[in-house]
Amino acid sequence: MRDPKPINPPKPSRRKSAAKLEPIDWHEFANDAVLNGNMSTLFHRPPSEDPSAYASPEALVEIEKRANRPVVVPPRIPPAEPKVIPTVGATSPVDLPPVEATSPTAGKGRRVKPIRTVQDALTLAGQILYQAMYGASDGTAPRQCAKGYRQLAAETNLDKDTIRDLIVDFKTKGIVRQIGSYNPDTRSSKTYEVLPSHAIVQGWREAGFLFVTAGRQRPEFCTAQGQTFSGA
Amino acid sequence: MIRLVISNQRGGVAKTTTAVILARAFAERGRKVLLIDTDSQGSIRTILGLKPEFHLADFLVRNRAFRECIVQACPNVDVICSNRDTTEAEVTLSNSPFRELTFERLFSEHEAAYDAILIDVAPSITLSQQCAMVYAQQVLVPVGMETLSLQGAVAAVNAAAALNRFFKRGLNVRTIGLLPVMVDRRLALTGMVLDSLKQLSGDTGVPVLPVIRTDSSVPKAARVRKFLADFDSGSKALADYNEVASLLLESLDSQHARSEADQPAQAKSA
Repeated sequence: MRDPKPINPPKPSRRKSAAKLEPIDWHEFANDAVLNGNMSTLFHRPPSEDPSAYASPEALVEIEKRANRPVVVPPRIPPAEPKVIPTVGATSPVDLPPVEATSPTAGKGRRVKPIRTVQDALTLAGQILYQAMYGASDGTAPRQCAKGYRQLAAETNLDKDTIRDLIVDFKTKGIVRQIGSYNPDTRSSKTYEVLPSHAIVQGWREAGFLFVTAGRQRPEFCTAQGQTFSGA
Repeated sequence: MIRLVISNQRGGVAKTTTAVILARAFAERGRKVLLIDTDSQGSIRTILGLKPEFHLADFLVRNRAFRECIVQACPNVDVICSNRDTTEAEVTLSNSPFRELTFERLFSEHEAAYDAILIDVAPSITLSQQCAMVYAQQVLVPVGMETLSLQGAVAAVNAAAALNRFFKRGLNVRTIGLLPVMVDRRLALTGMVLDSLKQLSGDTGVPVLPVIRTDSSVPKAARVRKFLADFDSGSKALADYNEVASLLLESLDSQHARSEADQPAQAKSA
C-alpha cells in the first residue's frame, strides 16, 4: 500500500530562502554622481554677474572652466532595434546581417577581415576593457560606466596609461561617449555611456567602416583592399 | 529667530509631513511660524486643504505683496504655498545675478513678524532649494527607512557642504539633524538604515534625532486635510514629533542665544 499523499504539504520557509542583506555603508552613496551632480548648476553663472564678489577661489576656477568650455556634442550612434535572430541555421549567429565578402581579404600586402562584432576592431586589451566597461555582453541598451582608471586597471590587469589611451581610442571610434565629468566638489567620477556591441557595429557600417586590418598589429579600419582610413 | 530647511534629495520621505507637523508643534509652543513651500508640486496646499489666491512665484517674481501671498493654516501658522508656477519662477531667477540670495533678499524684511521659518523643499536640488539653504543655513534631513532615502540624505548633507565651499565667506549651512521617520522596528531594513545613520552621524558629526514611528494616522490626516494634531491627538507619530520639536527648539534657541551673545563681543573687539 502506498503512503497517502499529505493533504497539506509543508510550505517552504520564506525565511530560509530569503537572501541575507548586507549592512548598508553610507560611503557607497557619498560620491554618487546622480544626486550630487545636481550642485553643478551652481557653477553656471549668468553673464551679467561678477561671481568674484562672493564665490570662493576654487569656485571661481570651476566657473571659469565651465564658461570657457565649448559645448561639444559628440556624434550619437543610434542603437539598432533589437531583433530576434535564430542562433542556429543558415542565418548569422549575431544580430547583424553578415557582410558580403565582395572582395578578397588580401590586398596590398595587408590582410583584412570584415567587422562582425565590436571585438573585431579592438586589440586584446581593448576587448578586455570594453568588457569591463560594458559588463555582460547580453545587453541591447547603452550602459553607464563610472569606474575610474584605477578600478578599471585593477579589473583588467592593465596599467592606467593603457586604460587612458584605450578610452581615447574608444571615444574616437564611437564606442563610448562621456556624459559626466569629474566634479571636484562632489568627487563624483567621470561617467561614460558605453554602447552595446551591435549598436557600435551598426554605426560603423553606416559610416562606411566595414573592414579592419587583420593580423598581429593593432586593428585599424580599412577598405576591402586593405587601405586604412586616415584619422578613423 | 529659527530658520530651518527640511530637505532630502529623495521623494516620499515625509519632508512635507515633517514640515507641517513641526510647524504646528512650534506654534503650540507659542511660536509664530511661517511655513514656506518651495516644491512646485504644492503638497502643503493639498494636505492642508488651503486655497491661497497667490503663491510663492507671485511673491518671488511677480511683485505681489507678502501679505497677499500668505494664508493662515491655523493660529500662529502662516503658509506660503507653491504651485507649478514655482518652476517658471526658478527659470526666471536663474538668470538674475546673485540668484542664491533671492530668499535672503525677499524674506529678510518680513521675518521680524515670525519666531520660526520652516521651508519645505523639492526632492531634487533646485534653485529654490539653494536659496532656501543659503537663507536658513540650517537643514533638517528626514530619512525614511530604506536605501534610497539614505542616499538622498547623504546627498542633502553634501549639498550643504558644496554650498559652503562655493561661497567665499559668511555662509555656514549646517545639517542640524538626521530625523529617522516612518520607523517600523519589525522590519530588518529599519535596523540596517538606523545603523547606517549612526555611522553617518559618527563620520559627519550630524546628530541623529529621536525616531518618528510609522503611523497610519499620518496619511489619514492628509486625506481629510487636517493637521495631525487635529485629526488624532493621541497619534504615536505626533508624540514623537512633539518630542523632536521640543528638542529642536531647545537646541536652536540655545544656539541663537550663543550667536547673539557673540555678536556684541565681536562688535566690541572690532
